[in-house]
Amino acid sequence: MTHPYSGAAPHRLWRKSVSALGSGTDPVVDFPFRISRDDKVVAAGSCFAQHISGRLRANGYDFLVTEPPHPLLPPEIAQAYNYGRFSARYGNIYTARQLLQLLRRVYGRFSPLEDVWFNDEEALIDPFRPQIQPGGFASLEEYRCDRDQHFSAVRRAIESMDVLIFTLGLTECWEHRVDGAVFPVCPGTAGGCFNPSTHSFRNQDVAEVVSDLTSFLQELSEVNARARIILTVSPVPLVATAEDQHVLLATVYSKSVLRVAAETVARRVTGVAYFPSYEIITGPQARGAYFADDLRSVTEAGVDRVMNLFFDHVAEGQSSSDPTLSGVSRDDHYTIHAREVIDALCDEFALDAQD
Amino acid sequence: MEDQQPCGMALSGTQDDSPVLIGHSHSILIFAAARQAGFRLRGTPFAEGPQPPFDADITAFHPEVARLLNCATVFSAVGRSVHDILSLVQHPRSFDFMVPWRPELRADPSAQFIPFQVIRDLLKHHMEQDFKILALADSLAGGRLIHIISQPPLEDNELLATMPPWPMREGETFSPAPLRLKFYLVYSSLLEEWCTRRGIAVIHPPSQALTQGGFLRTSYYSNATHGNVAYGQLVLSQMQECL
Repeated sequence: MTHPYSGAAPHRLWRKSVSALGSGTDPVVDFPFRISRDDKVVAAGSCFAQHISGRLRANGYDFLVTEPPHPLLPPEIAQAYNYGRFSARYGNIYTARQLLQLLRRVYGRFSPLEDVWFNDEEALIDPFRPQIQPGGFASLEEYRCDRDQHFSAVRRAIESMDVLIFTLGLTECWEHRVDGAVFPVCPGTAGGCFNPSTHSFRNQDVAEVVSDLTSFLQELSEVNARARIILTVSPVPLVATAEDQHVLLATVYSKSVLRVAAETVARRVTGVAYFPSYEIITGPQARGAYFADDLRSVTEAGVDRVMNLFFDHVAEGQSSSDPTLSGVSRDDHYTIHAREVIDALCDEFALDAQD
Repeated sequence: MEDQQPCGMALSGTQDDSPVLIGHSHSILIFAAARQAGFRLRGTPFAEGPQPPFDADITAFHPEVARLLNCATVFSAVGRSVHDILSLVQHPRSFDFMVPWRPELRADPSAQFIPFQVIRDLLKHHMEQDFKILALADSLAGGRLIHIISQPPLEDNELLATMPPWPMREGETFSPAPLRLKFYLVYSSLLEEWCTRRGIAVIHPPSQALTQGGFLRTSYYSNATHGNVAYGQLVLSQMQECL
């Protein structure tokens, strides 16, 4: 007697593809497309997405950075101000709605009512990337100059990318009651003031996430029809929940919604694929080994496992190591030359003391 | 010998309460002005004194320099023109920024915009050595330490271009004057903040030597990065007022 499981490929059977392989389990089957070294790759999403951008860059793939640090900046300063962490300086994009909102903002289709916060030192904070500029911006004009430059960089990234890797992180978000703008963090935590009459909590469900992702893809296709999309779900649990429930339950709800939404969109839309970072880290085959002592942070070994499988199944060709941060060089040639010139000038001045 | 040449290292063991000046090349024009004025100013520009004037980690001065510091008033012209290093010559990737207290110095919209705080950190990074030298001098000074902030840049790029201080590379030009001034403003404010935190008094560039916009007047210009002896004379007067 035959049935749908008769002669099923090993990857469809837990005993053969998980129990038998343990930590060697590889859940990626027939990834629908490959990333070549010539493809321009943009990454966005929650903090786990930073690992993807870093590893792509380190392995010689064309990780597109359209808002690079100026070469004058030493790497430690560039990193402190979040240059090169993602393709542009948008910081963590935790929700699909944030991603859609960014797209609409950079093309002038949405202008949030609440578009500046102040911190305790009265410096200006961008509510939509509150951690991007440690210490904040010094003036409204500076803030606007930097934001205009950022928007332009995001447009360049969107229009020129071949692949977008978006890591869905959260369903919980805080929004403005009037215009629906969503903030990456609760107002008042990293600037601004929380006002219950203005700000409300939203915990997105599957339909909302699917709708946001679908709208994003639709609007993206108007400016870049060739881009392929890789969706992943961050395996990093919620640090806190605004729901009145245990954070573990809130985490499972959130990740489940995101996982279902990603699968739904990937099945519906051509050119969209799901990569199982979430399952690689959290699946029983990992036995929790990829979580650090806080049971939240993902270890280097976990990131290695995800990225090794990513390169095996998604990246085309051999990779070469190129660990430089795009746009940053420790010894900017200009600075070296300028220092030599100034030093020479000072030495000359010393030798030629004028009376 | 000392009486004939008032500027120079004091001999060991001599009792001398005349002020001391230490520092990089900016001290040269002040020593020159002091010689002209017959004003006794002890010390030597770093480049002319014992080499090196301090150890590699800047934890100790050369003993001769350290001995000098044990006096009532030490003036410092420490500083390697970090702002000039970063801004004198136009970077191949042009950039600009804004200084919050001089909003009229707008940023060039065609250049890469860099937030003020980033520029501050960039300058602090490059000024680390100067701060170490100043901290060391402060810890060894027997009396007051007073820091002299160096002169602002010249506004006139055409004038700079007529007397290039070095053979310019093809296509190399000076940065726009507002950018050079903004770098100087941040540099000098960082120095002043640092000195104020440590209780070190500062001498600002003499107002007579400055244009309304805060640039160095051309009559006080020596080269692209230094004032002249006339400028040194104005600074010397400010120093004498501190005594």
